[in-house]
Amino acid sequence: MDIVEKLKILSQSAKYDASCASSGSERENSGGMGNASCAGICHSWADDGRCISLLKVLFSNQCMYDCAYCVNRKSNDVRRASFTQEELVQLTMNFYKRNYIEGLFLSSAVFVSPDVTMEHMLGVVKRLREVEKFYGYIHLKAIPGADLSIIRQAGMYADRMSVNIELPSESSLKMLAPDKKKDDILKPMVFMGKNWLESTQERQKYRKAPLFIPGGQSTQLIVGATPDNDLQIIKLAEGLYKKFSMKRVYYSAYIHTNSSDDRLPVLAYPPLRRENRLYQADWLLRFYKFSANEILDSSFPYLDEEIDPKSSWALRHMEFFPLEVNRAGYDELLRVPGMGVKSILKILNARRYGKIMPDDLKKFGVVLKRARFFITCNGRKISDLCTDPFIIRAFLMSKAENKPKKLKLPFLYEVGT
Amino acid sequence: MKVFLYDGSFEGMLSTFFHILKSRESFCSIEKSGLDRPVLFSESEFIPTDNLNAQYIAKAICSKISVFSFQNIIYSFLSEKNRIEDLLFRYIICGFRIGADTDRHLSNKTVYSVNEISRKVSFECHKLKGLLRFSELRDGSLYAPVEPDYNIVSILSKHFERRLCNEVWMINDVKRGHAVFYRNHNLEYLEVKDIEITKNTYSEQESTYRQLWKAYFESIAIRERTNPKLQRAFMPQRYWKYLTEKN
Repeated sequence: MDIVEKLKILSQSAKYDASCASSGSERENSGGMGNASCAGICHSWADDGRCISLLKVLFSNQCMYDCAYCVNRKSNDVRRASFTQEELVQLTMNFYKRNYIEGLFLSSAVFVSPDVTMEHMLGVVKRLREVEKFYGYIHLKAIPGADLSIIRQAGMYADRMSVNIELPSESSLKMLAPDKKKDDILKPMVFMGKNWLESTQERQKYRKAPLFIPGGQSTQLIVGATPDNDLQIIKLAEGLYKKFSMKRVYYSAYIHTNSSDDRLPVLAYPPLRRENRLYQADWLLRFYKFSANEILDSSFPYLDEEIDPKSSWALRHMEFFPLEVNRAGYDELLRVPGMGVKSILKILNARRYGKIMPDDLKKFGVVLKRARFFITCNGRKISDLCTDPFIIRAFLMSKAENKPKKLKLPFLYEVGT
Repeated sequence: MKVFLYDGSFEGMLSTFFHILKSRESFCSIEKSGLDRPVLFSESEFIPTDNLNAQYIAKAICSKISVFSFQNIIYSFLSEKNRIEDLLFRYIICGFRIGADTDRHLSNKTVYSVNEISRKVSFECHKLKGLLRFSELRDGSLYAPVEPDYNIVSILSKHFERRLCNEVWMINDVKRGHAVFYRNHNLEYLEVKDIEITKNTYSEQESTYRQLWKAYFESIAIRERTNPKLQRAFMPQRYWKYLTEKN
């Protein structure tokens, strides 16, 4: 099989992995090729609008497991292929040199055994780092069930590692992925979280202490394949961020790939809106000091698909508003819909030197369409609309509101022409 | 009222600033020479570039305002926007008055505009760090043509100097006719007119890797989620000309 075919098959199989981040690592070039950019760099955007930052491929798709949701499960009739280590190394180096990619994202189906699979992946990164002197970004999947010593070795070469949880609860896991055990997934996660923490603490003391996945670890959850609700998912994510010092949790809208399986729901289209709202909630957890219980509770276990979770929270807590932009603190402003971390920092800076006017807010990037219901500026409301949550909700949902209305010429004029 | 002219270089602009601050002459605008804008009721004077004066101003900006402000000035200058020199002059006057925390006065119109322009320039720079495409030539060197909105090749080259330090490469701003050439750990800025690239100038492997990249680009997209509008929002069509995967 020629290399083009292989690349097609093995990237087709890898595309359902949502992660593409190349951020968080500051690996410097010491006399070879490449470096990591802390902010991350996207190199292209595919036809689905998702960014392409890393060469995202599987080492092999010859899987010995039979997970219901996965294209590569052993009972599926798909074309199978495997790279050799040399092919993958050459591909990475040549793509990188031409500035196509920021680095490599290597995952794999489990062949022979988790240990053997992990050894092969370790072989590729070792070769890249030691033989080719490659200092670009490497994201490596840890194979659940692989020996922790191999994972530790791999972590010394990689910038980020991840284990996908995929299914948000143990019952779902039993139903859809009978070969995987919850412990097998959690064990490497705990291990990597602990090692990452140790390594970062070491490096605060000694600058030359060895790196262990400087970009941290991430994971992925499938949304919509199982009956788990949003509250469960967000609570799980919150736990992952707190306990495992996770950098990112990705959510992937379930796409119906295996039509012959009746354990899975048949959806007309992937639940993209729900995925989007989950990401917004995730941002609230990480940057806006929200807790999972504030975003949702058991009487309200699903995110509102029509308005974003922050607006939804604000409408349920109208007693918190209105806030005065010239006085309210950082944590308070974080709760205002339409304000982000950056615009708030600009507000805090600017108001040390003078009063903030409604015009300034717009310049600072505040989305007044949402924010105007929840703030006052110098004691004055920005719009004289009422404070009834139901009416505000209607305003927030309307899209064409800011566009000028199209007027029709009176009948009279049409006669004349 | 006078119009001051300078040679179009960054140092030239700083020298003009120096001249104006020193002589305290009143003026109506600072312009690049050679633009031949018709000027009514005012005379023009050409200020020659003086590196010492330029350095004096640069140092003053860094110490009296901040290094961040100096970077803002460089980036805004590279935007090549109309009347940017006048805006930057007002900015440094403002900066000398306020001091180190000038860039926090975002309610100030001048400060805000400069920060905004500088942000746009650095945004394009970041975008092109990803969207630049090198092709391998016969001698193993790498060549990348670009047509950026702003004159950012010099900033881009700093990024690739760190990244591809053992390679020989050239980034060519096709629109402005200049290029950065990197060889033996050394950056050179050259004026380049019509470089001719034919199929024969590429290395043998080049077409293979282009084909591989295109194949990868197509197969990584999830068909059920096709969203061309989102794609164009992130990757504006004006950059597609030199993208391997889009040609």
